[in-house]
Amino acid sequence: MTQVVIETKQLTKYYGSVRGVENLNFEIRQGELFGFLGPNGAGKSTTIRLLLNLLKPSSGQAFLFGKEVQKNYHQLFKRIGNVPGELKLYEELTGNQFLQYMNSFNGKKPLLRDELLHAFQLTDQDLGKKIKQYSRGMKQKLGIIQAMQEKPDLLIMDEPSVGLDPLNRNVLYDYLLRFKKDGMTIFFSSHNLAEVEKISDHVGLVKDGKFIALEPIVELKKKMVRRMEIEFFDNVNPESFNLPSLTLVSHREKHFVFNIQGEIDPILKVIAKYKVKNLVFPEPSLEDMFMTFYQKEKQ
Amino acid sequence: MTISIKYSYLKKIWHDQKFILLGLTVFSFLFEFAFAWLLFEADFKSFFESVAHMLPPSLMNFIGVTVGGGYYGSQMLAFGYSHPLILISLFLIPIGIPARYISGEIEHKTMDLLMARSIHRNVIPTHLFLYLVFALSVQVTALLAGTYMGYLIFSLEIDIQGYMKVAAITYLFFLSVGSISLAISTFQSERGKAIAKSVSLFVFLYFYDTIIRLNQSLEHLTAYSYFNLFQPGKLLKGQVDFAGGILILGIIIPVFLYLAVLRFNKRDL
Repeated sequence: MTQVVIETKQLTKYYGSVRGVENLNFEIRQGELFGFLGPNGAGKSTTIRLLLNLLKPSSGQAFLFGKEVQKNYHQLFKRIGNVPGELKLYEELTGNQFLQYMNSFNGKKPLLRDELLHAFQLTDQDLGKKIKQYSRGMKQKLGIIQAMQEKPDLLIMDEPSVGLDPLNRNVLYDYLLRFKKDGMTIFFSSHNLAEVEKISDHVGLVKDGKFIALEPIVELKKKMVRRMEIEFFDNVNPESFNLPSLTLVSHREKHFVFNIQGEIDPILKVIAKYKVKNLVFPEPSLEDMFMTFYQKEKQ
Repeated sequence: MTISIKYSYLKKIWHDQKFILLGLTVFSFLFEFAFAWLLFEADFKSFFESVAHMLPPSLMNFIGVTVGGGYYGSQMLAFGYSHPLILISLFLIPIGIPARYISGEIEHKTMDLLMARSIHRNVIPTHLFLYLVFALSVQVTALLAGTYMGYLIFSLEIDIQGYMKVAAITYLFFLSVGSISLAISTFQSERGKAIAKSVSLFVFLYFYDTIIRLNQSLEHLTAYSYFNLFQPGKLLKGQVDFAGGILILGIIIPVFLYLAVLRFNKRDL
């Protein structure tokens, strides 16, 4: 059994009377790449800021590597890299000075700095410039590099791909997947459902400061409702599709729209009895999954 | 309290502030030197003396100068230490540094980066205080050096040891301003608000002191005035208790520093 790297117990944060997060309980184990999803104001950044001791919990506790964050943060943070949301850097420093400054506090060698600079295409000339001359994307890359340069045991990132072009986003994903293989634990929040789907193995969906789902992504996909559109050559009796996993959404002559939840094999067997003109069955997206869980919550 | 010196943090402050400190140091030196030069040029001295004779005694009492006394020139020179321009220059660092590096870093979100590194929260207020200790010692030394240079060049008949006491009180007084501003900044999340609140407090205390000094019926309140701790002219005349002042400032400084550390440890960033 791998070590629990992040753990929260009844973690709650109120800003005055406004709820940030409430009674969050979760565990993330070593080597997991955890995607943390939710709309604006759901509590993603609050959770991250609680884990980083930037906020003090109203009640409950957060643990990193088995130690309580509030009491041991300055020791624990030697093992952590962080990319904050709304990333702001020290504008008066050059890129080089900034990387050295951020590295100076942890007493670890920046083993990956040169490699990351090369991968994210930041040149010596770029690093010699003051950060205030950088574009939004360059600042984001520098923020990511400062977090990763020491190859920490845990990466905590609040929407790290914001401001990156598709090419650099892929560089980021490649590194995250490589780090995961090396045993690094990665906790990141995102609005981008496709990116979470692409790289995460575990997902937490948060709404109004509470988890509405917290599972391996494979399990979540099974639970979600997917849409299938079929057009037949001949007229087909809708009664033929009376299966527990299938719900008929609409039916117009030879064109059917279904919602499917669970196994698709019995459905395919029924469809195979007829001559199919066209079938549209898109890959499940986390967008659909999100809506599924939100609707369940509403009900 | 856990404190391990983080040189890189101090180095970063130095990197940002070196030209400001250099500018203030040069200004402080030149101002006191010019004050010495002006006052001991015979024409200027007699001009100031005649103007001083025309001013109300309460105003002269306020600036800490007794006209016609044997120490007149020396007291006027001491007024250079509490001249409004010097006061403003001495307030800049103790108010500006805590506001920029606590409230400002919270406002601009750079504190999120910094505090996710391996740094104990005690480091921020204590290291800012250390910088104030250093910066004010440089600036006050420049003030004293300006006076001393005047003393050497113009062969002034002044009590240079008395000026060392003035410099010591100036240093501790503005260190206490820094300590109070540090505490104020830990309660604020915006640099502008931190500066506004610190400035408002000290302006209020200054006017309180001015009013009670200009009004003889309120003279009994001077002992309760914060600015009573900083009276260079009266200190030279031996009218204020030097050891008592040191003791009170020696209490104010650690109390507010402790409050700042306590508050910064407990607050949300």
